[in-house]
Amino acid sequence: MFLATVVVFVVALSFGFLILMNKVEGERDERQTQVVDRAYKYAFVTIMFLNAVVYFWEKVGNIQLLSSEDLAALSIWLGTLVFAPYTIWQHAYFPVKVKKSSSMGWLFAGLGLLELLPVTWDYFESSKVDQQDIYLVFLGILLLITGSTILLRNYLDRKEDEGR
Amino acid sequence: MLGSLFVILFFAVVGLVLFLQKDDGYDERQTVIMDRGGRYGLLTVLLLNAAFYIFSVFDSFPELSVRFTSTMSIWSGILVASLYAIWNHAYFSLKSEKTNGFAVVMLIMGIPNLLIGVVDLLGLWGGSPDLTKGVSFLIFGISCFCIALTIMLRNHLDSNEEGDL
Repeated sequence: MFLATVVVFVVALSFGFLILMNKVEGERDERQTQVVDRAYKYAFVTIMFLNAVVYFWEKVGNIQLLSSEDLAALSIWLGTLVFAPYTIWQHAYFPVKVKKSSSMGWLFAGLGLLELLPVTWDYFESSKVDQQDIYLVFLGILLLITGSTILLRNYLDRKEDEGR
Repeated sequence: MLGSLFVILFFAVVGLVLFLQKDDGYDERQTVIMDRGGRYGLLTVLLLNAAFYIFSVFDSFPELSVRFTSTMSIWSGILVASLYAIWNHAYFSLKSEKTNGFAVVMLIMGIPNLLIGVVDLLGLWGGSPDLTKGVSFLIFGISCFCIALTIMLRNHLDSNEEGDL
């Protein structure tokens, strides 16, 4: 539990660092702003769809898929998951002047693994996972996907530059 | 049952309007505004969900039902995105003429929902007040009502402005 708190704290710090870095390096250009707005819209539609599905599932099917607490957390998670990979893939996640995005990619991927490992360890030790562990798994998946997308995008861009 | 009918009716009307406008399209400025409306809608929903999550941590707050939180998320998001788009002339395509007609339909859907919501909240049907059901009707009614009023106000201000020119 202590490790989980430390990991969440490190994640919060790295997000804070990312926001600060974006401020320092300057604003996004016009194309990036449009891409970011579109990503927000896609994330918005995704969350609406999730909430509508959960609502109708419970109302019509009388089956409670999630608690209200889990639905709130899942909405935030899913929205971020749609937003981050889309903007990264369209070169709009980092402002134009940011050069060292790969280091951020490694940081995210590393933190993602760090989130997933304790839960996996716990599972193999006691064969059960509690709710906090599930949240850590979801956070780990989000960070791993975000980090991997940054690294893959940079790798493909480098390949394309070399091909010219 | 009645609530579901109203919701289905709402999406049917919006879907029909979007279908009829399909060929007209939106210009580039309107697309940008709608995307930005999505941003504000998303931020609203995220903040609301963060609040729901924090509330759920404290035992002193009453437990919220999934139906309540999902309804609040959906309608608050739609409301923010819609009002922003309407106010910036991006809700309807440029060729749309009968926007006041749409507003009247929204108003007709909004008023009964508002009334049912108030009746449910106060428990006027008899029996104890139904918070989840009441808020669901109320937020849907408020959304329709606000959308209708904003369209009418926007149209009124636009026609005044055109009259001055």
